[in-house]
Amino acid sequence: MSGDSRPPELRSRSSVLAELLCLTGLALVAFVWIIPLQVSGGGLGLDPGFLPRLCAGAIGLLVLADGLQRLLRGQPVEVYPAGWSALARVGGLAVLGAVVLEFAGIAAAALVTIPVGMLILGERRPILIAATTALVAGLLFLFQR
Amino acid sequence: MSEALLGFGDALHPLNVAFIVLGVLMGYVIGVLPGLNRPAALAIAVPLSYYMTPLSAVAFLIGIAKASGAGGATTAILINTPGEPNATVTCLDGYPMAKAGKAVKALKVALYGSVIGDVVGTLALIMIAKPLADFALRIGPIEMTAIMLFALTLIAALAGNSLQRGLAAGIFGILLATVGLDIESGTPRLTFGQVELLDGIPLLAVTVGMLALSEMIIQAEDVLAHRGDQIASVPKEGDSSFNWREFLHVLPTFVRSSLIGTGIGILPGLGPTVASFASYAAAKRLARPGEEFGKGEIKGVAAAETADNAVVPASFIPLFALGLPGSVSAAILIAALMIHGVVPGPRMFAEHERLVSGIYGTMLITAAVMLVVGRVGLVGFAQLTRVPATVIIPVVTVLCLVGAYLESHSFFAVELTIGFAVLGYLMHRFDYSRVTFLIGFVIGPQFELSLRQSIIISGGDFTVLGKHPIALAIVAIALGAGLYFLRSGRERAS
Repeated sequence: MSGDSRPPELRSRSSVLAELLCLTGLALVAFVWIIPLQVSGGGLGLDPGFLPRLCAGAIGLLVLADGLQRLLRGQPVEVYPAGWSALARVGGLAVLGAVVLEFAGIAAAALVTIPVGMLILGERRPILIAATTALVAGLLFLFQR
Repeated sequence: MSEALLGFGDALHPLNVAFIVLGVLMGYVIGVLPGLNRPAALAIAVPLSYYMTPLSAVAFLIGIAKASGAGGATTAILINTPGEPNATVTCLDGYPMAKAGKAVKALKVALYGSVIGDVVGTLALIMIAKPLADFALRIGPIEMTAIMLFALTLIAALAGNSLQRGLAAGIFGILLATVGLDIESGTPRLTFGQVELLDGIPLLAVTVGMLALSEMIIQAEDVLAHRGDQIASVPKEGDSSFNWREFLHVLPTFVRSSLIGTGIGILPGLGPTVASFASYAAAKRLARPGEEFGKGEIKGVAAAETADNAVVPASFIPLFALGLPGSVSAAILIAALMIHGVVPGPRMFAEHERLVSGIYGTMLITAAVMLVVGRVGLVGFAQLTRVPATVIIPVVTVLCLVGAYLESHSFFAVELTIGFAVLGYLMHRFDYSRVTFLIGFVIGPQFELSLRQSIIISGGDFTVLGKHPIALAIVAIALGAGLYFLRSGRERAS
């Protein structure tokens, strides 16, 4: 519902090609190396590696077909509008929360993660930060008990 | 019959009704809060249901699923901001109505439409699921494999922008569902030596990571781009009444949209967005002279909201009858039921008849609670748009981690949840449908079982399909649908 009328930026052919090679390569590695290494023969009934290999092969072919269709037909692929900052911040926050959770428990995880999360997302109102942290950590503390 | 009556009695138990009220309240709050959507909310709520009885857990989750859809109309009408894609259609006439001083009238129409659609969808579930389950028990693994392939093709084509990418995502879900002990030989598969993975990847880690935590990363993008929150307020003056004459005027739209929503909800993958658009298009096509859709037409709001809410109960029909989740909400409900030892599918009607009746009763009570809570809090819920996303994202992140931890009191599950959040974000970024992945992951074990049985029965000979006309017809429809979506995708791109 925004009024932004600028045409979307399109991805370069090399980036689409890189995505195609990366994903097809992963599917190929899974098919010829990871699955045979991680699945031993069952001896009874159907080979346990049958479905995983079938899936890996199918994914590789589908990704290849999709990538080639985009490249050969020149189908435009829009650039994703955001950078990687959100992933880095929220991902980092989740890792911090997991570490605190492991060593100090549920309530402590809230006590540390919520103010840090609010600060890294740009929240600067101290009362709001303190109130939110105290409320959620308090509720989790009661829940834990 | 007595089991069925006992089930309905269970639904009326005060504790169960209390969980319905709690779920509906939470659903409305989530529907209005910026940055939270129905799948994310359900994924976070599943861990909260560990300590409830199976029926109370389902009552709680169904309350959230239904009310979040109804609550989503509030921001669509008041500030022209759809909380979910399916509420986009509500904006078309809801916001012009609000600008014309008819905000409360639009909110009332949305509420009544939501409840009517919900009741019709629930009645369809009650009438269709059992006969369909009886039919499903008579069909063999070859037909079941064909049905699952058909469902996956449909979901893959409709949930994303490309059939190939959708199918790749769904098959990736099936691939990850093979992690753990092989069902036939007991051989460990793809566990990388991790003992925790012998039972497979926990469904909750996948749902919470893929739907809730990854959604917080996506919402954080908006916060960091300073796409600020708008605050809704309900004007105190204007035309707020919705009388019987107007109700009867809109009634045909309510009925038609309920049927459209129910029909679309039964088919896996189509979902509430398609239902809202289809219902709105039908209402617009049948418009009388003087009815101006897109400029504040009351029937436009009714069409969108009624169809949207009929989808949720109708999408449980394939879940209960075939064990196939037709939507993300249904896939998450599988996780909740499995935590309590109930496996959705045709056998559920024989093994848990009382629970199934209880769920039906619960769903009807939820509709009544939605009406009361929605009517009482019609104006008050709008105030919740004041909660900034900078508060919601860190709080939900913590709840995701705690929820994942509580399932098994294992940090491995927390690590997996974070891993799936990153995977879900990357899939969103590169346009691979997370919904199709999740549904592939959920149906994976059943798909493998049916496929194995089919291969054993047929001896690997595909010509056996000729002796199974139902399976052959379903495979032919799946192939036809696949080719149709491929062609239409190419035409759209060119």
